[in-house]
Amino acid sequence: MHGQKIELVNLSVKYGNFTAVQPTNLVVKAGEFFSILGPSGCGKTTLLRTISGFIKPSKGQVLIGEKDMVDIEPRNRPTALIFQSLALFSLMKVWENVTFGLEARGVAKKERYKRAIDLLDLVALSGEQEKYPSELSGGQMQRVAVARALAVEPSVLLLDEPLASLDLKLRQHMRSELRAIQKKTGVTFIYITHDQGEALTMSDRIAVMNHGIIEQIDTTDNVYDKPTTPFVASFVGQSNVFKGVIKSIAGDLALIETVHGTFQGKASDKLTKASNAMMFVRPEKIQIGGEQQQNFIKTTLTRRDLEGAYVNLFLEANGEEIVLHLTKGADLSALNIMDDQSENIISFSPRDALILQEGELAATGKELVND
Amino acid sequence: MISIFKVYGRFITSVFLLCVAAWVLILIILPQIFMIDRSFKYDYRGDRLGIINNDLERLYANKLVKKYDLDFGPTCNEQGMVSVSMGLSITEGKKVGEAQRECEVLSSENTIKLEQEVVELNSQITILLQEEEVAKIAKEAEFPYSFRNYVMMSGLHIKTLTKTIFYSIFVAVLALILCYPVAYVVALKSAPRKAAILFLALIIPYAVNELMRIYAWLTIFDVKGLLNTILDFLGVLALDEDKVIVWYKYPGTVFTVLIYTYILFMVFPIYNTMSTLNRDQIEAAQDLGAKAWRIHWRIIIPHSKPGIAIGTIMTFMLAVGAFSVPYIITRGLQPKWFTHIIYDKFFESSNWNLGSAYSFTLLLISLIFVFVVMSLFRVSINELAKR
Repeated sequence: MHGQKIELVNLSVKYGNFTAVQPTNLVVKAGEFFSILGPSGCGKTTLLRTISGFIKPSKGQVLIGEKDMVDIEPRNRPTALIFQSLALFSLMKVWENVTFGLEARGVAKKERYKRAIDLLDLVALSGEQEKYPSELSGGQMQRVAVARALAVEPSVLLLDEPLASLDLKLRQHMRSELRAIQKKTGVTFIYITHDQGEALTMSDRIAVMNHGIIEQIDTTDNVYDKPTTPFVASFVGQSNVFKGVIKSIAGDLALIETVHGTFQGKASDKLTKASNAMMFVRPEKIQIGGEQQQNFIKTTLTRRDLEGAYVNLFLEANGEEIVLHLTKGADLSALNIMDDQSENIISFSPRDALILQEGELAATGKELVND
Repeated sequence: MISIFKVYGRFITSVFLLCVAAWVLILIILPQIFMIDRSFKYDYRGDRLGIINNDLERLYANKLVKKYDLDFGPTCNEQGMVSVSMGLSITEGKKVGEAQRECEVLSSENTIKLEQEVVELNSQITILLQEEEVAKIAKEAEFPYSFRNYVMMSGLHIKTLTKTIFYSIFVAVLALILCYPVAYVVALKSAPRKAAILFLALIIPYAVNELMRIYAWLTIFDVKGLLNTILDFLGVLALDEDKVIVWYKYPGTVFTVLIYTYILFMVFPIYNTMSTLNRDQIEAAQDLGAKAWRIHWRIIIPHSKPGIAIGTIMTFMLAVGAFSVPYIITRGLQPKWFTHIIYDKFFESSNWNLGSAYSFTLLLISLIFVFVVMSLFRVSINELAKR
């Protein structure tokens, strides 16, 4: 099996007056694990279904391995889709499910059975071939779906939130398994998810999508560390957002005036003086103490949550909530933060503050951070 | 059961259960038992009791006639003989007094004769009644049950039965072929809004009375009906020169109308099971390279099997038990349906026992058909009940 390159050229999809996917250009390299991350309704599933051929694009091209796919039926494309519902054939045995694609290609039954055994080995389901899908657990069904898709030796595997219905433990386990299968087979994976944790752990690169537009395409590190839009900054990982106005720009640093005072941060390219802007600071980049620093805020502790390895502190300053993460190792009692309503000074380095042009924030970005 | 009591309370639940029990008992169990019981009792009209009954009936009828003549027979007046009931008088060529005298002589002779005859009839009746008592006791002493009703079906009736069953199977199969695509389009191929409209279009004709729908077909199949008129217009036939097709002669007309009448009983069950199929399964199969026929054969048909089985069974049962459609449509130009023979046995020859045996035979054959279809589709009764 060899992965193939996928190219979307100026692709857009419209349903009547509603544009599900705005004109999009995207190149996914052969053998890459590529994730498309976005909130529900952002058009990511539409994009996936367009690649698999179930939706005809209104404009533009889908190229797989340099070949234009627009007039090619789903069944003739070198892609295999794994559905969110898995869509296992409930009245067929596991081995028949796995080799349905081969059956459609006219492979003899004996040969198919042999292939099924091999594929079930690959996804660690040996010995389950005679069962029906309803007799399997969620994770096993998941792996049957993967085996079924791999059976037709696709160049591209399209996965539509396949882990969404699994519980947390299983989901984490399946992440590493999917990654391992992808490495073993070398197939190009396009993985759709609204879970940034999933996207960050598995992918080579991520596209973050909102309202039918891809806001950023980058490596996982860059998407997290160097978001280019407020949406990406707030959707991927958790961020404290400070709104303000740009006072001055000097080199790659800028000064922004907010309700908490004036702060210095890294400036993005598009900033202009006196324009509205947003400053993003990750909760783990904020320290307690540091009045001598340039960026500091006086806050009051309102609540603290223990989150396993670290503690979430919820602080209040000028009517806005600020979140900060402390690793469990730190001596919390020494820091005068054991009691609610205690006064604390917090600070952060200008290198850890990112200033972007004002824009839309992700509505659910904060809640998604830890799941 | 206890949960029903909890939800609806003791009173309503008791009333409800009683109604159900009464319904099952009075409308299902008792008539069936009665029918089965009679079907095993052979009603032989040529034995002694049968002959006595026959004779008695004749004697009673005779006696009634004589009595009538005595009570309302001709009377005499000065004009001669007058029949009140017939309004006639016989006076021609006779003098007034003479006619009356003659008449009185005649009528008194006649009255005496009639009275003698009645006495004689009465004595015959008494003898026969005594004989009937004896014969009845003798017959009651015999074991009443036998299979004779079941083995005495004539060749013609067997032929009709076989034909009815084969025609009904044919109707069920045709209906299935016709309804599967319809159900598929409504259940899996249409957007919800369009499916609702299609559904409504399917149901609306059923708001019309069944007889009306059947009669509507007469306007199409009639000798000067729509079909022949169109063919005339196309120049195939010539209505004016009596160059016509008598459609009622062909079994196709019965098939057509039967299918039309019962099509919903096929569409609904198939639609119901089909619409529970996750459409993702179809797309998954497409994505894996399956062509349309394979998707139907491997995924949609296996999934809809219980619905197909129910639809086939219902359509077959309704077709086998159809009465009005073949009666109205054939206009006597095609052989009878078996239900007509059952009707004749019950109401024309008044032989309820034989009629019961005939209809029980039909019921048994229908049940066999149900089990054959179920094993053919490998569907269990549990599965059928679930749908």
